[in-house]
Amino acid sequence: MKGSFVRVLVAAGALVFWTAPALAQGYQVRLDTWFQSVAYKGWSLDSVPFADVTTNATTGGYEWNGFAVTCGQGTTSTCYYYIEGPARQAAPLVSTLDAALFGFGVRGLSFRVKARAGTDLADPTVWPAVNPTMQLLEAYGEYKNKLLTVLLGRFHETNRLGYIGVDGAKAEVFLFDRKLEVFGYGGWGLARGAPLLVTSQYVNPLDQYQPSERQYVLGGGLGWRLKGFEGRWLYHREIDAASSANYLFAEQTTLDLAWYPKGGFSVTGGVLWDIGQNVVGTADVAVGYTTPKRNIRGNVGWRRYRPSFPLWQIWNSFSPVAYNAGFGNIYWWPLRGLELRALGEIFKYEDAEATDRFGTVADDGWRGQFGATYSGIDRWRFDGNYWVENGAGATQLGVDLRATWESPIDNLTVTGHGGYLTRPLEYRYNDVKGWNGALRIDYLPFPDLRVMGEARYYTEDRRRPDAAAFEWDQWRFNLGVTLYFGSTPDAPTLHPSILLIPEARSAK
Amino acid sequence: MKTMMMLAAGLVFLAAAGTGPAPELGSQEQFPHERHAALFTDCAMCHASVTGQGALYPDASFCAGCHNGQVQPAVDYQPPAGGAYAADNFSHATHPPTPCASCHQAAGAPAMAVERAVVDNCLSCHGVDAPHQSAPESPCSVCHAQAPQPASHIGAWVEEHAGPASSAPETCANCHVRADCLACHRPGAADPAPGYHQADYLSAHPAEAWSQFAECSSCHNPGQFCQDCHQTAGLTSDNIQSTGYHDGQQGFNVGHGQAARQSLESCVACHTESSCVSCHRGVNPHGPNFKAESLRSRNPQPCTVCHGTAVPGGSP
Repeated sequence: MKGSFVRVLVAAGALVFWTAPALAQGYQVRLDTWFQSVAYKGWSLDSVPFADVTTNATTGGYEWNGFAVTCGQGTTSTCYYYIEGPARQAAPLVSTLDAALFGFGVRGLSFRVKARAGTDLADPTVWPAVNPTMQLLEAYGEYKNKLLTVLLGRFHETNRLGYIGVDGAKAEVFLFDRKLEVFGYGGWGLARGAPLLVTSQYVNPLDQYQPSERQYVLGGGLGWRLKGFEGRWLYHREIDAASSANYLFAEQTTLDLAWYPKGGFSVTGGVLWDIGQNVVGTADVAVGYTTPKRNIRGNVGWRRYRPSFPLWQIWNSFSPVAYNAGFGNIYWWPLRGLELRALGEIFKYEDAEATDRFGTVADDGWRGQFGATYSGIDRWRFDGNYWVENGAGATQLGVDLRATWESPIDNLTVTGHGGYLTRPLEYRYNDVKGWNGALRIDYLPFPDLRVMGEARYYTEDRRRPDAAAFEWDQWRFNLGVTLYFGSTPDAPTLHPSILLIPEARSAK
Repeated sequence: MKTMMMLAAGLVFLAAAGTGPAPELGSQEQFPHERHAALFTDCAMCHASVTGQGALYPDASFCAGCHNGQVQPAVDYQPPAGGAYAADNFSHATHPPTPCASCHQAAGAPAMAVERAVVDNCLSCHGVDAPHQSAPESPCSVCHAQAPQPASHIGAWVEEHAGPASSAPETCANCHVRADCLACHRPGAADPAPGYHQADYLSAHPAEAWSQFAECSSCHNPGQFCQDCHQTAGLTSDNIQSTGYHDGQQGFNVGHGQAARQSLESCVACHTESSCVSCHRGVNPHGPNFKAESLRSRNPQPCTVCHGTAVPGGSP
């Protein structure tokens, strides 16, 4: 605990140091600090000799002392089963600094930093992604004018491949009144989905093989923005720095197109070609339509999903198969303040060409959601969602209800929330029924300061047909503070992701 | 499923009735100012509100004075309802007197070649030191009480935005900076739910992860965010024989091929390469679309895990 406290102090000191824009003529800094108290229950593995197990007359499966067990082949094998594990309490505290410094006498020159300090006040081994304590998400200098944008430092490339972290440089050149863009980037790569190196111990908790050196990253392409027709082509390559033979970690290319014909229609789509695996990866196409009165918006489309694994891992050899899905959604605003929505998708996996001796593995499924939001009553907002998923390997059904009240005191909102979830899993006796209810307060005492607090009661019923079933409940707490410093009139006190939260929308 | 489809069809039918009011105005007049340059020498003749009196747009009868079907062809014109400015913090009445052309004409444009305010002209006086919409250096609040919302940002925009954003990220950059993307796509470990995910996603995530509705690893590192937590929860296994977790299916480990190929990302969240290879060194894991030569030529190291130095096709 003492160590955690010291880490928090160090993190806070570093953040304060960073917020001092001594040399900058202009700056914007947003400091988000969140604390969460939450627990979860896992499992503990145990074993029993095969000789001691019996066969359950109902399920036909093996059991021992009321526990369902799985056994290896042969009568001398050991059987394994999981029992209820201990509750693991976590108390993550995370501060994120988002700073922009500009006005250095060169028009278009700015510096941006996004860094995070985090720790778990209860147990540093429980909650993910708080190690290491300090994480530098982005830090780069940017120069931009109408013809050129140059980045230097740590930044992310955002595209169909996901978020590609780069320590290096990027240049974009805009031609023909910015209708054509040619870009290229290069440097050293980061691990996927983390501001860490691929060599970091924190992205390898299971102690598997990992590269000894971080990879080189090289990419480039072009984009165009013609009237009503936009597109972008990208080529991306990651090279093993430790290999004299220039082995690759990834080689991919993507094409994205968007067409906006008149009449409220839009057609968007794209495809990823994994050159390294020589297969078509994720792809999609969607047709959207908005009525002239803008009271209805709908989309229909097709998409394909296939995971991509780095070429240095063995998983590509296991031939992951794609699924293809048809989807649609419709949003309707029949009255001012009322939104009705329906979303649905049907999907089916491609042939896995694997012999299934059980004959029970599903290869298709569907998912859907209905929802409504009403904000037609002064100071009130109601929101409800019902979703269901029925597919290969997993099923879930959930209900989510929320009511937000904006008090006569400016900038204070109170939200009540309730939710229900049931989630059976295939291959696993682990049906869950969970309920939760929460009360949340968002308050902006000053334009540059926002605080929130939430208390949530959570109860869970792990429904199993054996002795490993259990019920438990807990209180969960969230506290958050957002602080803004700035030399300009803008005061983006709300974090963009917070604006996705209904109650935060009303709080703005 | 049938019920869902019927409900969806019902919604479509009701929607087709189009009974609701438009949430906001999206039209913009296309008046040929240049063709009227000789006629109107003072902007306030039509746009009286710039002097603090009258309406922003002329009434239809004003145009009909000439466009009556006799002197000039009749025109179908109605002043836009509301007539709100894109820059809703701006008021002509309170702004210091400024020639109209200094804001509404680009440099060097001919007379009456007017357009909506040329924002670079605004910013040249307001001390902003970057191109328009290069947030955050250009303070939006100089002109905008609230950042204008593009017409596309309605309905399921959060779910839909990946395609348009990948096609033309420069369009997004009109208002968003890179840090905005990371706010959702790289969540903080203690951020309060719900953000991208619904509340209590901790309980809900197994089903969605298994069915791969979205690619978890776009935002979450599989090691840092999946394996780390599953290890703490006692779910990981470095021994393929101890498959007690899959207790709903006896003998799962000898019949898991289809399930694994359909949701390999889920397997990887708990199982190590070595635990899988312990059997698959002798049981061929290669299936559909396995392009051995393509993989081998780019990185033969994974091949050697099972094949040793005798990689089929030889070392590249």
